[in-house]
Amino acid sequence: MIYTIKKASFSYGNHKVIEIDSLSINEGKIYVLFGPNGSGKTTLLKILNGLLKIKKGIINFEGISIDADNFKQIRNNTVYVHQNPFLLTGTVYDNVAYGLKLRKKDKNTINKTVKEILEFIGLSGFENRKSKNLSDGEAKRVAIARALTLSPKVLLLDEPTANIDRESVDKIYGILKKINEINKTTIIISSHDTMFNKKIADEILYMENGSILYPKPFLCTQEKVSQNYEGNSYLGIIQ
Amino acid sequence: MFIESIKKAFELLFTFDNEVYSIVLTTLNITAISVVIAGCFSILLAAFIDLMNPRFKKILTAFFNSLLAIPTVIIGLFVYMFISNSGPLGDFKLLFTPAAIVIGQIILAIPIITSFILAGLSKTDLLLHETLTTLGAKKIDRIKAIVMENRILILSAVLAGFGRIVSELGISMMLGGNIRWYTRTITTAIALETGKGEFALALALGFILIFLAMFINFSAYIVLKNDNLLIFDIILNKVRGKLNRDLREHDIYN
Repeated sequence: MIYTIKKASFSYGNHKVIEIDSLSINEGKIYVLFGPNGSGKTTLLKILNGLLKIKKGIINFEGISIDADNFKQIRNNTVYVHQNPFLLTGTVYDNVAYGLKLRKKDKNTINKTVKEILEFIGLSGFENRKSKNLSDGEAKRVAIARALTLSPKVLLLDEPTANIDRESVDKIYGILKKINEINKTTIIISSHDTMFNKKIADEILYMENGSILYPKPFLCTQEKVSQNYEGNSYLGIIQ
Repeated sequence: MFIESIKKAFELLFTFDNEVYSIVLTTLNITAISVVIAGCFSILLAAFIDLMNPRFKKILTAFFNSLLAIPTVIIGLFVYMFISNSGPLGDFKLLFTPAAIVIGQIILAIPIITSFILAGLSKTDLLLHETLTTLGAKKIDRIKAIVMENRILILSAVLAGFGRIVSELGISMMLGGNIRWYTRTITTAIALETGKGEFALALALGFILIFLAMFINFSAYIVLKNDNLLIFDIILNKVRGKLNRDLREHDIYN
């Protein structure tokens, strides 16, 4: 288990957004968080990245209980990619190389890694393109590339297929599958795209009102989703 | 008399009268030094405050906003007390020198530039902060990125600071002493000449001051309207080019 969460809760003021009794995430799998708007998917992803801290409960990452003192354990091993990623001013190279520069890698290593990653995500030759001139699909892929340079154990993606065309969705699908297969990276995705979810997920976690409706019938394996998939209906996924 | 004064003012401007342009140069020198120092300090201060705990951030933002209301003569008074012969910094003999005006103007400009930047940063996307955190940026890296991503805002804040201090009177008069050819600035000269009933020189300087204020505001407008940092980029590229040339020459000679 890479994550185990017990009796965790998070709230904004008096409004409780996350209340998870128990959740375990296995290493090397692809999980999809699925559920209506406001169900707490993004908040959960941010908690798993350490951007938000739970008010109550326990989070174990690789068996170590995460508290204020060892929060870096999560931060150093996970990267969160926003729904509408923020690309820094400058070129694609500047963005992809940013995390490596922060880690004081030497220039040759940075150049080599950036080149390899851009090739991997199908954006070779984009190094000198201005980040503000990219399409939404390209921007998302650059944000994923920026995350991948850090070789995270867990990649957390918020709506990676929102607002982009089908071709870009397929490209992102291919990239994520390859990362998972080659690096055994655990990937946790929040997504409303049922077709994409069906294709990519090893497990789908259905969320509602901040809780993961678990174990059955709401934790669906890919086979179950395939059997029950009916268009864009949530019920198709969860029944 | 009015028409006569205006005619004479234009004469002074177009004959490049020594005194007029000495006053303008003194003003620009003092203001430029003040704004550069205050700008550098304010940028770091604002970025640092922006990364603080929200409660401290609110308190400090309110504090700097309230400093905006302090009259220039009060700043002049306090600095005067510090740098006058009997004050704690009296040994430095700063009173009635351009340096004294610079000190006062820095104190005047810091709250203006800082508040302006903080107001803009408060609207900065949460995405930027979260992106920097998730990529593992430390505090200093975050400050660098925040400054870089908000450089248009910062530029306009610095221009606003420049506009304010180039037109202030209290500090220049009290700390500079309005000494001819030395600490006489546009505003102190206008006050003096108007008092003497010599409107021509006052008007000539007034025209220059209005031109400067309009030029600054127009530059800020162009920069903000088009999100246009062409000039900034050109300067940056020139500096980079020079640095690269220097490095190459350094390599050749070593």
